Amino acid sequence: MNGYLIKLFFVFSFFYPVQFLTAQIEWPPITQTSKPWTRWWWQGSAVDEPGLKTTMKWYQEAGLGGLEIAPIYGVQGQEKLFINYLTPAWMDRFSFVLSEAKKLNLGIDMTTGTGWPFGGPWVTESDACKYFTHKTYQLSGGQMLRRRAQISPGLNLLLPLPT
Amino acid sequence: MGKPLASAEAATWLNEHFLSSLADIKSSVDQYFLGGVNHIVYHGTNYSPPQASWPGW
Repeated sequence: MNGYLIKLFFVFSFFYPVQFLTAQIEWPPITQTSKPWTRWWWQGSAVDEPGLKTTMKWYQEAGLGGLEIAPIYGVQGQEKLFINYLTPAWMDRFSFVLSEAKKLNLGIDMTTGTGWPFGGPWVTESDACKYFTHKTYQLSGGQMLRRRAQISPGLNLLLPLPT
Repeated sequence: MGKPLASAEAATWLNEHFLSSLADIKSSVDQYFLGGVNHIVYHGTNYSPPQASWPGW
């Protein structure tokens, strides 16, 4: 009798945790949106169909669920390959990406412009990002600054000249 | 399942390139999930032509 109880105890102590663990590892189905996506930086949008086809396959095999296209400045020395954003050539590559993505079950998203921060010529000065900066000039007593303060070449501050 | 998606740019590093490990990503993504994010969008994968030499673009 004691032997039976001990056996019973071992049987329960062995199986109970196994069932418990089984319940723990029942994952919901893995969907396109439960996989990680990635922002897909297109430097100079210098993409071509063979390169897109190969890399998209790699991303899909690595377990990514989707790609968010973000065109940005290009790689130095590769200027001949740059494609201007939203031009017919760019749209061709984009259409190719959409058709490949459908085959691979990858989602495709886009940022709302190019670069970082996203933007373009349609963002007017009143809506554009701004920041404060400063530069120190040494002047003698009574001396006036006779030109606009220049922080870096090409960046002139929109300050009135001293009168 | 069936919940609205809350996505976030994830695994964005401010240190030098190629220094972050998969273990760093694991601990970072765990914190996104604890914060309610259920759709991870990594900060970045750079398009690099397959023929570009290591480490690519």
